[in-house]
Amino acid sequence: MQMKAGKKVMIPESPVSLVDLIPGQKGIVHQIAGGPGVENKLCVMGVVPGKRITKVSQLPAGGPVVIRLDEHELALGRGVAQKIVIKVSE
Amino acid sequence: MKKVVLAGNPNVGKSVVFTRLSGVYAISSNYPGTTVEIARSMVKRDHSSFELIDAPGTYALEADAEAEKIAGKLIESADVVINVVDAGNLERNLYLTFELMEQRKPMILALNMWDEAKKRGIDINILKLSEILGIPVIPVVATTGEGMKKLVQSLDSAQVPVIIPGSHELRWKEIGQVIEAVQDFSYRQPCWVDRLKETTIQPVSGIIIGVGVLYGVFWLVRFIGESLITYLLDPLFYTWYFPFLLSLDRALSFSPFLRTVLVGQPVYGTINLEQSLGLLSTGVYVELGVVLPYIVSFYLILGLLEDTGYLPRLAVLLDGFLHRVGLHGYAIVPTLLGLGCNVPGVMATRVLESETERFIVTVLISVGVPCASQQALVFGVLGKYGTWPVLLVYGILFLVWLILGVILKYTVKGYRPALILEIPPYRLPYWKTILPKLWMRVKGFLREALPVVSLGILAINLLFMTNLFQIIARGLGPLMTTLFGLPKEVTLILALGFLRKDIAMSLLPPLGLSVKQLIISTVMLAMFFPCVATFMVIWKELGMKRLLQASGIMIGFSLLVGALLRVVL
Repeated sequence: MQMKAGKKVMIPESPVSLVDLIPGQKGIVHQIAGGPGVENKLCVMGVVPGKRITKVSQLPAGGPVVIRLDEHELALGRGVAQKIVIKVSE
Repeated sequence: MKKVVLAGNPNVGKSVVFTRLSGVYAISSNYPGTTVEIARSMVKRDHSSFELIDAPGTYALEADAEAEKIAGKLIESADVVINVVDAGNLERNLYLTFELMEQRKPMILALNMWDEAKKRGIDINILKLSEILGIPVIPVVATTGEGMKKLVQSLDSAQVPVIIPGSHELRWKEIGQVIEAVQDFSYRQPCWVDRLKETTIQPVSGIIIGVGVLYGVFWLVRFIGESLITYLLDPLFYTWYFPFLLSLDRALSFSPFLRTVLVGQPVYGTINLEQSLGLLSTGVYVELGVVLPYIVSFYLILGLLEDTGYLPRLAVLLDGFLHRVGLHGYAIVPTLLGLGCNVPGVMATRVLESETERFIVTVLISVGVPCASQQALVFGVLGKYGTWPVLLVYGILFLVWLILGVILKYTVKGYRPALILEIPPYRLPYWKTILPKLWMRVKGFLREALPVVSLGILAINLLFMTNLFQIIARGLGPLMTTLFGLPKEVTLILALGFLRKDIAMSLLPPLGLSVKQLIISTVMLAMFFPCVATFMVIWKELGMKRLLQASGIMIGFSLLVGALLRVVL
């Protein structure tokens, strides 16, 4: 772990689950750690390893995670979001 | 005849293109999955004509959801495929384009929402894109009609594409290269729409706005509906229609039978539009004077809400909550449509992927979601006793919906897919798409309701005249009285609810029930059994077995709730 000077936002070096990103953080999709069904479905929506994404928000009480990729927004159920591994970039 | 299929991702405007090309209206909204029924139309050109088919939106051809399977089959049968693409979202859209290209059908790419993309600073090199893909690329703006002529002309020059990648990774790799070559992106300052996008999806602000929107929607629907009744329909009915009925009544004095069927029984010596039960008195007044205004106002507001793009955001906000009921957030779309009429609500469950989930939502809609016609009568029957009885009916139905949902979650086994939902951008509703949609839906209501209402009123009158009403009521009466504390006549009203629940509810006031009895009867009537139209659509959509299960749950639950309410209230 390293601390950015001035800001109290930690950027983990090893990839983390999308759920652990703080809304506003950006990252690159590292891996989809789910079955082929989920992987396929995410793939056709453009969520593939190497893709840059921004976490927009996370709804409480087990609600979905909203991410932005390219020019559009995608809501992912908490279960799906847990399976997406992200390398945080900023 | 040549078959031309419109294919593309959800919410790229295929239905608007369809309407533009064929002149036949297809319902369109700003959320993925509006098209659940396939629209087909003949389109004439200079010398030839072709069949145009509007396929449901799909992200890929290897399908999970019902809508995707349908789209896949349609594309297989196509002679020419027009791939409609959102120009503002080219990269994601190209995935399906590549899969379509692998089908080796003559293809055209229609770059829709070209204007919106340009405004957002996206520049696409059309010539280059066409050259790389090997098919004609036509920029269009379907809502205004820009480029549509060229799209039709280019049908003859549709080309079988050459690129055949064949796997996920290869497709995305190729798409990356294509985007690199043809798309330029100029930076643009975030504007108020971007801030609105942000605020409506954040936990705290989003939920506050969501509650506000829902409250506003219900308030507006009621306000517009009531205003239409007070300032337009009641004056029309009482100054023009009522005198006509009086003279008709006199003219028919030669035939008591015709008089009863058409005008109905006098109440306190005169014709009563609400209670006389004639085809032309109660039949016309309840449907056109009480229900129609709420139908118009509900669908107007729903249409506006649909076209802004807010509904998917509502689905995201409610996903966590709906998970507890065994559903995912998108179930809110069929549920909201069900508040207008249960039939389109049940049809809209096609956007849900698993049969289990479709069944659960269907049952929940038919048990706990009163349609606009029923709601109009709940207001009509209970409104005069104040707001609380109306709220109580809604509250009870909501509670039943919730409890039944939890029960079904644990009892109905099956696959429940996770939420993966694209959130469309906000758009300003455009009256040229709002008004035809409203008209389509109102026309649908009239076509659906009027014949059944006439039949229902005829049936009631015949039952009364032949004394059958009293005989059946006496037979089942004791059950009604002991279980629910309701007079014996309510049995038949419940049975009539099968035809149309609004007409059945309008039969309650003449019985002189207490407020408690009215509440119990309206709740039971709402839950008891699907009306004939809903009955047929559940049968068609989910099959006989599911229909019987749904009906069983409805009957069982309404008896249970009715008996409970008698004790609790």
